[in-house]
Amino acid sequence: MPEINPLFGKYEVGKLLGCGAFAKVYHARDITNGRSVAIKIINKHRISHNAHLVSNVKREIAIMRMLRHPYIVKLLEVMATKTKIYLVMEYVKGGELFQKVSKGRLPESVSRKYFQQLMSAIGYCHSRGVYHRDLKLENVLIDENGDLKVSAFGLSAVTGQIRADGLLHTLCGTPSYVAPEVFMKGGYDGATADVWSCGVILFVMNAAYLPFYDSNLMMMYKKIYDGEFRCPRWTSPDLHLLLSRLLDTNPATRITVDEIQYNSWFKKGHSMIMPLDDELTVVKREEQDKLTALNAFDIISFGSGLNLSALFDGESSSIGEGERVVVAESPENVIGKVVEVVKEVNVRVKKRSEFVVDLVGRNGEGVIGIEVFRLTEQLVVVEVKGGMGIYEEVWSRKIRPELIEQRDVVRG
Amino acid sequence: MANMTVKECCCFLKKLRNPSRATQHARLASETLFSINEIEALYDLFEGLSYAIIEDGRIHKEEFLLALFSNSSMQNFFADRLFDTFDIKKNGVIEFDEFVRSLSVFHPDAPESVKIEFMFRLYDLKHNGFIERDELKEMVLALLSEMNVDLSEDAVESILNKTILDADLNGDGKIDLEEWKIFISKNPSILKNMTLPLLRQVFTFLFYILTP
Repeated sequence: MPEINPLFGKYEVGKLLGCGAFAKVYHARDITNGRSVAIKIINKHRISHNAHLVSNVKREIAIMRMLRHPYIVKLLEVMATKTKIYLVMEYVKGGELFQKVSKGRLPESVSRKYFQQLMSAIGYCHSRGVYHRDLKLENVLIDENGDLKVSAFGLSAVTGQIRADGLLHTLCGTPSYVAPEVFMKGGYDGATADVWSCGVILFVMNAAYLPFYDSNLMMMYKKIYDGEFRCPRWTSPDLHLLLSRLLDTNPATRITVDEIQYNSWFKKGHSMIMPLDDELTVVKREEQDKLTALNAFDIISFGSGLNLSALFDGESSSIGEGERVVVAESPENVIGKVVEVVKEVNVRVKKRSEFVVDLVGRNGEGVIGIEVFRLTEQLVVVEVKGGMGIYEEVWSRKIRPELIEQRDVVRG
Repeated sequence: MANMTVKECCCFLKKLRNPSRATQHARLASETLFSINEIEALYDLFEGLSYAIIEDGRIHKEEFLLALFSNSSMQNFFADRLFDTFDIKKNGVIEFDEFVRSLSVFHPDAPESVKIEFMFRLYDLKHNGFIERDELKEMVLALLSEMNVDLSEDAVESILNKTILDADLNGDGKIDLEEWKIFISKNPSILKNMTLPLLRQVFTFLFYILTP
């Protein structure tokens, strides 16, 4: 039991939900609003001997705090004392998908709905450069409305076997969900490995048993490596086809998250496919289209020395990136160039007003925000905010060089 | 006592020497937007900062720069200004109560009027109750040099003229506090730097600092 209750004067800690090598999870109630939460308590002493683990935990928590998606368990708050780290998470009332499946296979329509929601969550994270790496049935929860929630996203370093329920140990710690390339020597791509794990999850929902299983671990590795599985007879041909594309042992030819959107079994009854268009979508026309001319105090407020968050953010500051550059271009040309450049890459342009645009990664929300201000007759300031995933690829490598080459040509 | 580590022993002795700390923390909690738990957490943070270079429990300029830029000899005009404004007693160091009171201004729930006045003090370089034209110019030039932007004299003058014209309502060529308040109400985005949303979750950011 945590020693102080209510914890931080805010959370009334209740029963133990599960425990693992590094962490314990408790149910708790936020006494300020009565909301149920799950608090994962990580013992720092248990991880502190391993610097690699510590930096992983920090990085992944920073990422988790940024993820906001209806099908991902939210990390509400992170707190710490000298000895413990407290992760306050959304409490999902319904239960685990594992429990549902252990009572019997799911009808294909239900499997499809969960799989669509799972892909929506996975696509969102992948577009931000975040990979789960530990996807399995036990990490997928179903809430009281029957919607799916992926848990432990970005926390693969500390998940371990966080289970109190002995029943679940039959699957825990087995490589059942792991793609063949992961246990091969050499690196692997988090995105394609996640797709494989999703394939195993889809298979289990439909069959109520694992596609690759053997009580002998070496035999199990071999089965995964060979990628031979048998679908139960009730499997529809379309689903069978999709499963064989998901559980393709070659990561290079395995179906991708983007391709899944167009799969005929997947598409059925699916209304959430994000259309990919490069046209300008005017979001909020009423916002003023006037260009903001910077006054002297606006200019001063750009001073990096005025940004105190560096005092506290530590390593997490690298997650959300941003910068301001001065460009000798007309504001219209800047926006025009941005639109032109991103045609080559996989992002959408959302225009907030004439000189404020958001660049949206596939499956995602606003990722990079760009705003143009007038500095002088000849110069504008381009402010870029956002980060994760597409910042480097889209801003640093594509747009920035396109704009910066204009610099120094005209002096104000 | 026999089982104490050296470090624990030091902490224990420090507490013995300073019985009034609990009282100080309680007073700060009642006078700022932070709870007593948060004050304790801020104290841990403060200790880390104030013992970073000169181990005297006060934040020196170098330690402040080290925390902001990971570089204790960084030259930055605005960081210097911020340090001076945090240093309420003007004795060249930031003490714990100054640290907490100043941070409290940046709390999302702090009244806007407090933020506006803090910012006025920040920009009133000569501490004479006015933001004068030459002070404004000094700051604009400092920022342009920080951003590596080379503006012509005319361009700078034109920006200054326009801003002074907008802000200086009584036409004496400088901005007083009343004029500043009106100027901010017309340009609220200037106040953006004065709010640190993460102060609402003191324990969250301390995670990064307290974790080994």
